[in-house]
Amino acid sequence: MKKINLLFLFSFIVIGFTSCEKDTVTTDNGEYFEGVFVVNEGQFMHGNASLSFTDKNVSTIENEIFKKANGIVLGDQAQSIGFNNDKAYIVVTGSNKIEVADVGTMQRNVTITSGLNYPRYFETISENTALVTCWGDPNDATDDYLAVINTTSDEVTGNIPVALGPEKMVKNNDYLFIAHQGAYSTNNKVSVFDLILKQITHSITVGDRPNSMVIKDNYLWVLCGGEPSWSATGETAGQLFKIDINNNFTIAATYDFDTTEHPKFLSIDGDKLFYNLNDKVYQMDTNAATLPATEWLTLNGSAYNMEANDGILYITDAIDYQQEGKISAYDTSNAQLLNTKTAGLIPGDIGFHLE
Amino acid sequence: MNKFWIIFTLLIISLLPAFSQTGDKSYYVLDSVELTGLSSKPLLKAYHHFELPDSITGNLSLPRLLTQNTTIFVKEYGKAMLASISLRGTGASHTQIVWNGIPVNSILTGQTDLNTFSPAGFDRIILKKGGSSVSYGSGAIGGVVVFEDRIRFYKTFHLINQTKIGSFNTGLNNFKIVKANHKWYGKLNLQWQKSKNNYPYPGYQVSNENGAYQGLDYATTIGYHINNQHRIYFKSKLSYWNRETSRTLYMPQNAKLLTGNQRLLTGWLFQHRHLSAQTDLAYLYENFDYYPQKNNNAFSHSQSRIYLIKNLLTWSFDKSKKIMVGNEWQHQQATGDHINRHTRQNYAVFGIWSQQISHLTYQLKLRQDINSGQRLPVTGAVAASYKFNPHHSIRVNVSKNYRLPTFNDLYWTPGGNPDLKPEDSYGFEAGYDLQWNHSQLQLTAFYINSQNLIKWTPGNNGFWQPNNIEQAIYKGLELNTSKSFNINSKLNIENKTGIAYRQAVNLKNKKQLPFTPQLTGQNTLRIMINKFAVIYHYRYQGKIYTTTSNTKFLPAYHLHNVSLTYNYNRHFKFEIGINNLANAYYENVPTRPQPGRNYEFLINFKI
Repeated sequence: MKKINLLFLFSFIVIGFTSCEKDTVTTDNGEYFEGVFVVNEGQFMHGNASLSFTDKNVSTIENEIFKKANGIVLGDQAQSIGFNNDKAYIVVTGSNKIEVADVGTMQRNVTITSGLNYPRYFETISENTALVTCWGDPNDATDDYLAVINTTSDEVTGNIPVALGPEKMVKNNDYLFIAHQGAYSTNNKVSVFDLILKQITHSITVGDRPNSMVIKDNYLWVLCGGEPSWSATGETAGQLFKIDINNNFTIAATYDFDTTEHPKFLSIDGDKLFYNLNDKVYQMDTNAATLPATEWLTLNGSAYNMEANDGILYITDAIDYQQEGKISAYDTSNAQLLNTKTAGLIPGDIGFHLE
Repeated sequence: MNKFWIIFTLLIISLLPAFSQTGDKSYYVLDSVELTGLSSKPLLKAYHHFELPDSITGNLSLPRLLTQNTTIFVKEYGKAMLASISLRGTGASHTQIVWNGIPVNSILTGQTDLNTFSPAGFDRIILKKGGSSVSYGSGAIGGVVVFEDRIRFYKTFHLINQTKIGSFNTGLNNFKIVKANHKWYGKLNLQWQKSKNNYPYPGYQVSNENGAYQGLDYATTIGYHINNQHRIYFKSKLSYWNRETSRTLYMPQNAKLLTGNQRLLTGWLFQHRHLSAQTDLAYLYENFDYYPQKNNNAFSHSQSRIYLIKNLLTWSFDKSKKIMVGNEWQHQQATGDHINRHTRQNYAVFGIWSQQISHLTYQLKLRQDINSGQRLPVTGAVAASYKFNPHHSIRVNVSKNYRLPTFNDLYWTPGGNPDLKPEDSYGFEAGYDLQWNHSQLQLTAFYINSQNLIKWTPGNNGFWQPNNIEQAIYKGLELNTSKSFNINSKLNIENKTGIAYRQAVNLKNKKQLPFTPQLTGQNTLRIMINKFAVIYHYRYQGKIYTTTSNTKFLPAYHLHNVSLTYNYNRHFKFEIGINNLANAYYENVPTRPQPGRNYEFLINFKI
C-alpha cells in the first residue's frame, strides 16, 4: 500500500474541489507511479517520440506525459523503457540517449548520452546497476556491446563487448539472457550473462533472428522469426526454443514453423505463452508438445507490439505509421477486448510499473 | 486574424494592377522560340505559364528560385539537402522536370532532387501548371518545370562570371560563356559550390553538424547551322554532388550521399516551308551512393540509365492551323544494392492539333503509350482560350494524365510490388487573364482527381509495400499579378504577387494529405534607382500537416529576404543580400530547420 499523508490528502481534497481537470487518482508517489507506460517511437526523423501512460485495463490514457512534465520533446525514435529504483529510463535510439525521469512525476533527472551508441533496451540487474544493449554502428558486426549503467550516478561506467545485434533481455535470479536479433544484419545467438560473476559465460545458438524471450520456471523460451523472404541468405522458418537453464542451457524442445512463417512478440501470462503470426495471436500451453493449430485471436489491424502481463494482453497498432496509433487490452482468459485507446505515433514498447 | 491580414494584404497588393494604368515594362519575356519542339511556346495560352526571371538564376539553388518567385511548396530536408517539389498539392513524383524537351525525373524515385539540378545557365525556365502527360509522359500530373537552352545563330559573344560568398563558409562560382555566329552556336556554363553549411538551428543549442556539401555542374550547348533547312545540335548537363546528410534537432547523423547525373542530348532539326521535323537522341544516367558512415567505405549503390529517341513532325497549314505528330521510344534500366537489374521499354505515339478561329484558339491532344510491363490508358487533353480583347482573355483545359510506378516501387528488395498499376488522374482548370499596359493578372481555378495512387504501407510480413490504394482530390485557386511603374528614367518599381490556396484531400479519411500547405503566398518588390536595385522577397507558407490524421503540423511562417545591387559599370555589379531578415525559425520537414538570418555577397563580372 502506498502511504498517503494527511497533508497530501488535504491538498488533494482542496484541488479536487477547485479543479475538475484530472480524474486520475494521485498518490504521494506521483500520478504516474502505478500504471502502464507506452513508448511511442515517433515518425522517423520527425522528432515526435512520446510517452503515454495508461492504467492496467487501458480504460484511460494520458499522452505526451514526458513533454507535459518537462516541457521538452522526448526525441527521435524512442525504443524502450526500463525501471530502477522508482526511476524510469527511456531509451531514445535515434537521439542516442537515455532520459532518466522520476517514475511518479516524470520529471527528468538527467540525460545519459556519454558511452551510448545506438542504445536499444534497458534491464536492471541489481539495486544500482543496469545494462543497456547497444548496436554501435548497426552495419558493423564487431562493435556491439552492453553499456553498464550505475543507476545511482546515472552514468555509463562500463562496456561489455557482445556478439552482433543485441536486442531484448530477460532475467531470473541467476542469469540475464540477451537475444541477438542481429541489428541491420542477422544473428542467431542468445548470450548468457551470469549475474553473480558479472560476465558473459555462455552463448546459446538458436534459430535465425531471435526476437523475444520469456522465462517460466527453469526454462527460457526463445522465439526466432527466421530469415524473411527477402533475406540475402534465403528464407528460413521461424522457430520456438525451450531451453533448460539448469542443465547447461541445453535445448529441451524445438517447435518449428513453416518456412514462410515468421512469428514475433512472445510473452507469457501464467503458464500460457502468446505470440503473433501474420496478425493472428496464438496461445500455447508451456507443456504443449506442438505449436497450436488454430489462432486464439484474429486482429483487425496490425500489431506493432504485443505483451502479456497479469491477465491482460496488450497490443499496439501503428496504423499507417503517419498518425497516432492505438493500444488495446484483451482479457487473456477469454480473448475479450477490454478497451482501446489512442496513444502516440507508432506505439511500441510497453513498460509495466504495477504493484 | 493573423492569416486574414496576410491574405488581405496580398490581395490588395495583387489587385493594384487592375486599377493602375501606368508603367511600360513587362516582366515577362516571351519571344519567339526555336529548336525545342514540344517545350516551345504554345500556340495558345490555355495553361497557366510562369516564366522565372532569368537575370537572377545564375547563383540560386532551384528550391530557392522556386520558393522566392512562385507559390510552389518545396519540401527541403534542410538547406541544400534532398528537396522535392509539390505543385497544386500533388506529390513529389507528380511534377515532371523537363530538360530541353526531355523528361528527366529519376526512374528510381519518380522525382528530381531539386538541389542537384542547378538552374544556372539556362535561357528560359518555365513553370507550366496543369496536367501535361500528352507532351511529357509519365508524372506530369501537377505540371512541369521546363528548362531550355536556346540556340540562335547570330554573331555574339558574352561572358558572365558570378562569385558568391556567404554565411556558414559558403562559396559559389558560376562561369558562363556564349559565342555564336551565323554558322555556330556554343555555350558553356560551369558552376562550382561548396559550403560547410554549419548553421545554428535558431533557438536551439544544436547546429547543422553534418550538413557540408560540394557540387559541380557542367552544361554545354552546341549548335551548327548546316543550311536554312538543316540544323544540328548537342546539349549536355552533368552534375556531381557530395553532400553530408543534415542532423535533425533530435537525431545526429554521420552519413553522406554522393549523386551523379549525366544528361546528354543530340538532335537534328529540319525546316522547310510548312514542314518541320525534329529528332532527338538522349542518354540519361544517374547514380546514388549512400554512405551510412561518411568515413567508412561501405555504401549502398543504385543507378539508372535511359536511352531515348524522340521524333516530332509539324505541319503548319497556315498561320492558324497546325498539326504535330510524334513518337518516343525509351529504354530504361535500373540496378543497385536493393534492386536487381531490371529494364523496361516505353513507346509512345502522340498528336496535337492546334487551331485559331478568330478570338478562339483550341488544342486537341492524344497520346498512347505502350509499356513493356504496364497497360497504359490513352491520355489526352482539350484546351482552349478566348480573347475578348487585348485586355481580357479566358482559358480552360481538361486533361487525362498518368504516372508509371518507379523501379523502386516495382522492384525494391524487400517490398517492391511488380503488380502495381500506373496511377491515373484527370485534371480540369479554368482561368482568367487580364493584361493592362504591361500589368498582368492571372486567376486560375483547378481540380485534379487522382486514382490508384501508389502508397507504401507496412505489411504484416515485416516490411513496407507499395500498393495502388490511395485516391485524392486536389482543388484550389491561384492568383498571380505583376505590375511595374516607370516613374521616370531613373526610377522603376516592379511588384509581383502570387497567392495559392489548395486542398489536397485523401478521399479515404477526408483529411488533408501530409506535406501540402493549404495557403502559400509570395511577393517580390524590386525598386531600381539609378545604378542601384533593391529587391525584397516575402514568402508566407501556411501550416503543413505532418500526420495523415492531421493532428501534428508545422506552423506557418513568414520569410523575408532582401538584397541591394549596385551596378558599378557595364562590367561589374555587386550585390549584398540578407536572407531570413527576421531570423525566423522555419522548416519544411519536421525538426529540420532552415538557416536563421544569413548574409551573401556577390560579384558579377560581365563582358
